[in-house]
Amino acid sequence: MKKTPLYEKHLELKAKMIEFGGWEMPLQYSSILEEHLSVRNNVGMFDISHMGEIEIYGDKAKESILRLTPVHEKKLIPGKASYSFLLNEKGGIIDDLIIYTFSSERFILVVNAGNLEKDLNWIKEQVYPKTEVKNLSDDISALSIQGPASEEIFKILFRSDLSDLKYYSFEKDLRYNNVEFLFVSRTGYTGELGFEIYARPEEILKLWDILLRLNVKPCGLGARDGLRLEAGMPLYGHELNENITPLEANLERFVDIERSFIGREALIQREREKHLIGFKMLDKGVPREGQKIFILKNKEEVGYVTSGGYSPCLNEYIGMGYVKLYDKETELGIDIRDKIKRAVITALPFYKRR
Amino acid sequence: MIPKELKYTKEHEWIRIENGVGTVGITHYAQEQLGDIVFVELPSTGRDVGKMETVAVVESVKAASDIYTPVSGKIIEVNEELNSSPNLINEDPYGKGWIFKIKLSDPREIKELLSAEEYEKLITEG
Repeated sequence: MKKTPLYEKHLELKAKMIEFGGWEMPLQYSSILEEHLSVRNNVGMFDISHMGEIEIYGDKAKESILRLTPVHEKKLIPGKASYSFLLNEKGGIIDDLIIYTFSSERFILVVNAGNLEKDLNWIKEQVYPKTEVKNLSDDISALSIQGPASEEIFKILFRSDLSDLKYYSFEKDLRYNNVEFLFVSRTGYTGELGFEIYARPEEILKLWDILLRLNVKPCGLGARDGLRLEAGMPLYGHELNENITPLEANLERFVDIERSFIGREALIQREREKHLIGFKMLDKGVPREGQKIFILKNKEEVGYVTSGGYSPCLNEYIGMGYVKLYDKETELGIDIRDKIKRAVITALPFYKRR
Repeated sequence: MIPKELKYTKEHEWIRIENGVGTVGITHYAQEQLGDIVFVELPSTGRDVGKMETVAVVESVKAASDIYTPVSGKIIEVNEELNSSPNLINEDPYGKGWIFKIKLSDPREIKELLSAEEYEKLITEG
């Protein structure tokens, strides 16, 4: 199993470690709920060094990005980050990712750890000639700093206001004292104000200690999963996979259907087999991935749960799942260990930052 | 952290027996392994259950775990406080975090349970 440069730091803090996407990662340091709430109410940090970074550069780099992803072309402006996907010919999602545009000839894609090899192979097959594809994952590590107090941390580190940096924008070549960063973006995966810092592994090690001294709470994958669920954000392998289209996942706003890209024909022709919904439990119980969803009235099985858990911010049990029938008023039943418990469709996200 | 006066199961339940009634919960070790507990499905009272039958479910942030009854008998009371505060199991596993009370139908079963020393050995040696 692979280890991030921060592995020893996680052990020093007595983190519970688990396998995630081929990496040994911290699940929790103290308590998952405590870490969750520290991000909602203050500030927390996540080791995201396991994420993959793929550089695409050359004369045809932009054309290759436009062929590989359904991203809106006007978003490929230097200094901007865009959420997008790699799609297969059937319109299914090979991976979801963030495109960092450095210039029309240079991009860095940040992809899911577990999908890196698959993505690299696909990208190399599909790019235009004279486009270079380079795996930078061993050279770039990253930390995500999330929560309302992340703004303060940003000011301390960079002596500037976070409001200078707009949502889904980034700045390159920043530094704090003797620590150098490759790029810093206003992004995140928690629904909170936050930013992500990409740097060489040795710099990330220094940054970790600086952030600990600033009382930024280390948070693990447990809190990360609960936060992203409250924020209604899909997770690859749960809400997204190669058989699900971005349209089924309610992500059409990230798809520029007007221009050509791999998978477009299928997205136009293929019927939506299912829809991603959010729901909350009316009866008490914790919905879990794989549980069946029924229409309560006639006991018809209509779908399955993809993610579920307890929301500490709402004090409710919430979940996401796919259903083939879609009516917001319909009362659902979730089969939780052979008991049908009542649930109701809820608009996503469950939690919205004030 | 392992009270001497209690009896234990290999599945990490504890039982305190007083006047033929057992109070059952999960051990400090078990709650630590499970992490933050967010929901407890309590048994219904009046139900007759057999030794090591699943009677309750404890759900943590991570997963669901079955809770077994260490002895046979009738469930006579459940800890209703867990409905609103399941985290009592994390905070006070041997006290306010108790789960149910059972009237023993066969007190001889107590002998088959683990002593504090035996339970300690089990968790330290894995």
